[in-house]
Amino acid sequence: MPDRPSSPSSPTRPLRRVLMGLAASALILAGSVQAEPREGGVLNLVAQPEPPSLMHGVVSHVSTQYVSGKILQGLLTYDTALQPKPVLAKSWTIAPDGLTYTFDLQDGVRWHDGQPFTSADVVFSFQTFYPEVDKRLGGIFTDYVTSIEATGPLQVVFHLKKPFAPLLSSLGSGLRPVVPRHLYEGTDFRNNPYNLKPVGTGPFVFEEWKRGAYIKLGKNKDYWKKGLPHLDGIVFHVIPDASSRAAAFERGDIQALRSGDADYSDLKRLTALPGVQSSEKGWELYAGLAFLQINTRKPPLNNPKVRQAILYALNRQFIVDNIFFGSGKVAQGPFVSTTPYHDPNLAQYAYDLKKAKALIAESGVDVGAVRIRLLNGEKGGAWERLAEYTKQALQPLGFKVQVVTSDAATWFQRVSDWDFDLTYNFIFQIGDPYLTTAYLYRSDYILKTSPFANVSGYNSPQADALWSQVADTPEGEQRRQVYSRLENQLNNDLPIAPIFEMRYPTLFHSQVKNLLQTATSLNEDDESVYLDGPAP
Amino acid sequence: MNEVSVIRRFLAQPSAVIGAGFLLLLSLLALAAPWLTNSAPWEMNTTPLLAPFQDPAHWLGSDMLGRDLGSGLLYGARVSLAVAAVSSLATLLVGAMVGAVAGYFGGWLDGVLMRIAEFFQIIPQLVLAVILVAVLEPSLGSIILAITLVTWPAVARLVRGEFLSLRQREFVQAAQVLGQSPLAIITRQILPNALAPLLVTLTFVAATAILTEAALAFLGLGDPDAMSWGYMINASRGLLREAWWMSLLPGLAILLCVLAVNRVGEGLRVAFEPARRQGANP
Amino acid sequence: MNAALFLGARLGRALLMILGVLVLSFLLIRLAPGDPALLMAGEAGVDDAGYIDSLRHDMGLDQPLPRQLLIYLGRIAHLDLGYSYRNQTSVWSLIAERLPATLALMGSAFLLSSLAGIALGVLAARSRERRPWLDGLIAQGALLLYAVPTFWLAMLLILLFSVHLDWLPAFGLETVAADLHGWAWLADRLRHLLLPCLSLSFLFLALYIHLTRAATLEALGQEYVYTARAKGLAPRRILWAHVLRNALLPVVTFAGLQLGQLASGALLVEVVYSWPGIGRLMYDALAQRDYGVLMGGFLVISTLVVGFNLLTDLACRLLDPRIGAPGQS
Repeated sequence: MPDRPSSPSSPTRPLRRVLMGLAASALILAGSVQAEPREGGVLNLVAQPEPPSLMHGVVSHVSTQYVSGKILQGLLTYDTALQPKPVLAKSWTIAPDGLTYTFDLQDGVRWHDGQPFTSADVVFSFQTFYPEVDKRLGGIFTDYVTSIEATGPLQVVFHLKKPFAPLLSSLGSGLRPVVPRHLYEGTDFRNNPYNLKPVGTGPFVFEEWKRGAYIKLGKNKDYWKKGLPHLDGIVFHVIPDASSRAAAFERGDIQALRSGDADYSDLKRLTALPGVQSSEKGWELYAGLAFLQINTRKPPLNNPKVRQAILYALNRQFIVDNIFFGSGKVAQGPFVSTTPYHDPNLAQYAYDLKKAKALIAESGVDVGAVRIRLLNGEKGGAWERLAEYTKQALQPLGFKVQVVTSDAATWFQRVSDWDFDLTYNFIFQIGDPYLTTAYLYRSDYILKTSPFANVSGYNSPQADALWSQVADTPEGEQRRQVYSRLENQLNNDLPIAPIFEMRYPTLFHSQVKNLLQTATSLNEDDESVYLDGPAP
Repeated sequence: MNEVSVIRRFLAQPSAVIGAGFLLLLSLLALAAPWLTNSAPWEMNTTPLLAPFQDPAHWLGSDMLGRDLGSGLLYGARVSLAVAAVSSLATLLVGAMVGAVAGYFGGWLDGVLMRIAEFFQIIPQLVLAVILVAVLEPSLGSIILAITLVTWPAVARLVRGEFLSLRQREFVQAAQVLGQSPLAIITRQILPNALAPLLVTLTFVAATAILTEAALAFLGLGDPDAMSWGYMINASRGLLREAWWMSLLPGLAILLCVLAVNRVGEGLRVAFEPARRQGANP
Repeated sequence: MNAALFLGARLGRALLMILGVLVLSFLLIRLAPGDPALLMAGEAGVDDAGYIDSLRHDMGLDQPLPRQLLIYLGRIAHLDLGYSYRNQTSVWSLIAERLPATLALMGSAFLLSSLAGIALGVLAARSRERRPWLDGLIAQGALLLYAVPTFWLAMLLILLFSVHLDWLPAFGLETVAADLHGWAWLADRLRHLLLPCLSLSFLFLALYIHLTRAATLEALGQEYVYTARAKGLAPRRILWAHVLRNALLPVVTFAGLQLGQLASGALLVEVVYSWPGIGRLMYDALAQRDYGVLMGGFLVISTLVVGFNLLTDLACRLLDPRIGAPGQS
């Protein structure tokens, strides 16, 4: 705007300044409004494999958690710096002696069917529901928790027998959401119909599950955080074919791919596409370890030398490089190497076919006498190739391996029922191995409830004693030494052969904002996700 | 029917000759597979995703687990050709038996048998094969059984047709008068005349067998110990773009094989034709 | 043979076929090694002892075989195809949900391949005299198409049209949650249908070309054509009025017989494109060892095929009233 020359003392000058000031601030405001999240749009994701259930309290399958995590919420969650963040518990206090945890719950929260959320739901969830459904938590609670009581409609108190530092992490949204008492009390928890059409408190409401096609979630219009969620809905597409998934992502029909959604071979190409971002954020809480579970009940797998031979015969670097296309690094032992609990001096199982054969000979066992069933729960993709690779890799040792592929739900059931000889699996080691890894090895977790219990049937009183010792020893050098002894024993007995430590790149189109906000990443509720720009 | 003239007429058709030559060559290569390649098809012995024409030891490249494609193709040829041959033979036996019985004895037996044949021709064949193999557990045996079950009607109909027309001919009636047993009449008088269209039909059976086996293997119902072209195509699905040779080569192999078999069949049909016109044309 | 008798006879035959399909399904499940009840319960239901018992009772496994067959037929008459424990719903509802998708795929492929096949076949036959190269091209092309494995072709089409050219979507029935209406909805569905339909139609295109060409050539050589030509009728009218009508007859007959193959091809195409039809349902049921769904799918598809076969039979009769007359097979 050309400035009209005027004398310094003209009366129009101050007015002009004010106008320009107003114009300037209007522009700034407009700019900041554009940086605000846009409302609306539907986020398209992939559910691969098709989940066995939509209630991640009952079925802790990753696919289930992915979908269910947006519908059901827990008391708290963890941000990327591994600090707890409030969710349904708006605040909490821990008594100085560590024996009392008081949780103040959010006010004005309703379940998706309109019923109010109260402390009774929390008490029901942790006192009745989880001890029945999840033996791991049940065990913890029996050992450490005296009682859980509702001291008001919006307050819950946990009374502990002895201090238990990991209590908060076992209450995370991603693992143990609060379940609606009015829908679950008195029912058969595992077969409750609401496992397939979940009712929660989260930002998204279950709308429809068309088997083999999609799972549709809609916006929770009465979400207890005003102004959220931004999205109108989320659709999880069921696309069993990996190249179709990659193609769909390329075309923008799918906007974000979790690690494992795209075939590992497509990762490099997809990341290089314009407008696509990759991030490894969001998995800070979950250090993933992939391993081979061995059913130690059945000969020849009941012989530790045979098990060691199996690990020697697997070229784990080849697996990481060629089957998972570099998404990880070879495991260093039963505990993830990034945690301080791993013993850096642990004996390693470098790929050595000769040694493997020697061990078999030493054991004197005829490994080819019976057909060994290697279960695989995902058709197509890296895990199936891994199973094939294993079959070929074990052949020179004389094993007759049969790969049995099924869908996720069937796999989950079979492994839970110990109906397998070998299977690949992976867990997230959340910090202290005692919290998750222990259940794979402790003899009191020889249960038939899930593949993440001690399905191998490993029963070692020495190892059990070491686990107990580790739980009771405070942090410090002594504890590390106990862990080292434990790891060494597990490394020798090898009921579970650690394969590789997983990396989790998430791929998404740059128009998707606020995707990875917490340390539980894609299992989180996506309440603040929005789409900047037209969704395709 | 003059055998020499048939052969000559066959050889006069370039496409049929090329087809036959291709099949012969493929069979020889397949038989010689263990000596031709130094790697078993399942052995993961090289850099994965090796493109063809890069490494002289693995001329056709490798798949994503480092398995040599060339040896995969050769051993896959073994499976395809073996399944085609055995299925054709089995179909011939079953179909000829049923068709002979129906055509010779006629009456209600003929009616029933032909209804059954029609039934198996109309219902979706691959779907039936899938169910049969799934129920019996996948193996080369169950695959061959499934293929035979869906292809025998064509042969049976043909043989029956031949029987119906030839039954009335003088030389058959003469044989009956002379007291030849029905079995002898069937094998010595009627079948040789039916040979021509039978051979042609069998080539189509063989082509169907190759395609069906590939489809079953593609769906994951192949014999788990046998490297099959269909299996290779299925394995290549995730890497369609990165490793085009993984899907292109086995697909081409199937295509060329079926094409060759069809051309041979067509060649046979043309070669037999004048003789058919002279002889026993219904 | 008058029309009513013809219809009755053909209907009777179709019903007999469907009965055959039912008996075959019944036998197959008992052919498998193991307990039929355990098989039908599938992986999911095996643990539920109460469910297994109720299955045994429903299937009548303690009764003699003929009794079991009657029980089975009775249940089918009530559209009770069994229960899928894995999916927690009846087999029939699973199939009914997927049926329209499969019908759309098969129907469109049938139309495309028959129309294009007939057109190209006639074109080839007509061109034989004046433009033999065109005839040769079409004939050889057809031959090539016939030998191509359907599933491989489907994959190649995806590679070309979806991945490289980005013209068409590679999976599914529609863009989910796109909330389209009216023409946009139709256009979206058609875009998704195009590649699967194309993949499925190529095989039959080859067959129809071949058949129509042969039939047209033969009809062209018939006496009445010479007669019509001699009478001075224009060539085009000869072609359309006489030749086509007689050439269409074997095509329609053939079409009816090929419906089974169309259904089989649809299974493969549905698997490659993740097309949510019965074929895809059966493929997933394979992984889940859900034999109830497998049998149900087989039953429904076979019944469909027999039904359509009946329709084409009737169409043949319309085209040529001589069909079904005494002396004809």
